[in-house]
Amino acid sequence: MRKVEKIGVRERQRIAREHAILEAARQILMESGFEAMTMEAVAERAIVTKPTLYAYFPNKLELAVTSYSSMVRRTHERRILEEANLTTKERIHLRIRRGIETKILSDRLVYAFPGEPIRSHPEFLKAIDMTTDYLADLFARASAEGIVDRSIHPKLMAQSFVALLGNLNFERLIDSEQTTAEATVDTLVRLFLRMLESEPK
Amino acid sequence: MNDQEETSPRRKSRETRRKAILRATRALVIEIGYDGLSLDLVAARSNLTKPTLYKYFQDKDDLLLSAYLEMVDTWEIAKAKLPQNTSAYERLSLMIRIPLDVNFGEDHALYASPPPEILSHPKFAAAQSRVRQGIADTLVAGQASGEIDRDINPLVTVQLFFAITGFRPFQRLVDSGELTTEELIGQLHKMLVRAVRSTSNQI
Repeated sequence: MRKVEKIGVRERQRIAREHAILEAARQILMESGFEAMTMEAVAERAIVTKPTLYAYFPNKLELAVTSYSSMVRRTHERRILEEANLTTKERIHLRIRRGIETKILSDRLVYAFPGEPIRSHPEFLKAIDMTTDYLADLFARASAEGIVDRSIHPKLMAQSFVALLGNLNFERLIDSEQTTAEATVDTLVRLFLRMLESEPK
Repeated sequence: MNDQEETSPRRKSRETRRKAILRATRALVIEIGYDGLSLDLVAARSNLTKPTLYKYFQDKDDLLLSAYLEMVDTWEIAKAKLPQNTSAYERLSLMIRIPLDVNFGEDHALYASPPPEILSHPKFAAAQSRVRQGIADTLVAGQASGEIDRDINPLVTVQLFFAITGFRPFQRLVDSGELTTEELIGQLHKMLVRAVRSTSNQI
């Protein structure tokens, strides 16, 4: 019989409030971005007083960083579960396509990828590094299986993907109708997978 | 191109001197930064008098900009010297090295954070634009000749090239000792050039 540690009422309340605050922050960040976010709006949405909010997070930046970081971690965990039964190759394909699609096609998620000052914040970088390390491990495994190019460092492959997602700026091209969003996704997925492929035998 | 003109002693020594001045400028910038740079220092380092220096460059901004753009100029000259029958693929391979060498090569510290006067200078934007356009044009030419994948949009591809070649955090892999500079540039180059080739094994 597993021994379950008793969490006191106080502690449970604290955890619940923190969740409510982070969820409120997440919603507001997704709706209007970091610049527009105010602690007032978050307090209102989370149904806590401002002093209470400040007790959990000293300022807007810390709140936003924690919110984005926990989003990254949650997405990461969800993806691991979803790919549990896939082959290495399938996992790679899925991650690449998903990542690029999210970036290009989700216009509702304009603020899904934070800009500065969140982007350079150490806590956020730690969360990103975690997913990058996972991706590097995946590429290392794929390398051993002969699926991707052995002569390319797996970490370089993983960071190249981060580079791609972090720097994509296709609104101008898509708006000027020189390409469509879907065609852009297809080109990018194709290009990136090609970047990784192993030499022909 | 007039060969005689190119290799005439006057031309050559002028060119050599210009290069020496730019080399001295880059070395000084790395040592003391942009702000500390003065034309007196550059003249001293290049063993020239200030009046002579002024024959080559109008002022400090002109000098800095030229030092900055020399990398681009060097590659444009190299590209122009390629024989007519060089394939689009080979041209592309050469051109992708420009941003890689600038951002991760020997002098990358120099190019890491150019002063705002350079960034906002029209010549700088024009040079960047030229490199981009050159790459886009070469992709299109390569698609026409069948060397380059026809299913990729050239404009999107150029964006990808620049997203990756401009990603300075790659430098951390060199700083941590996981890769040498040559390996970093070599592997990035290999991946990018391979991505657009028209025949391959899909993974």
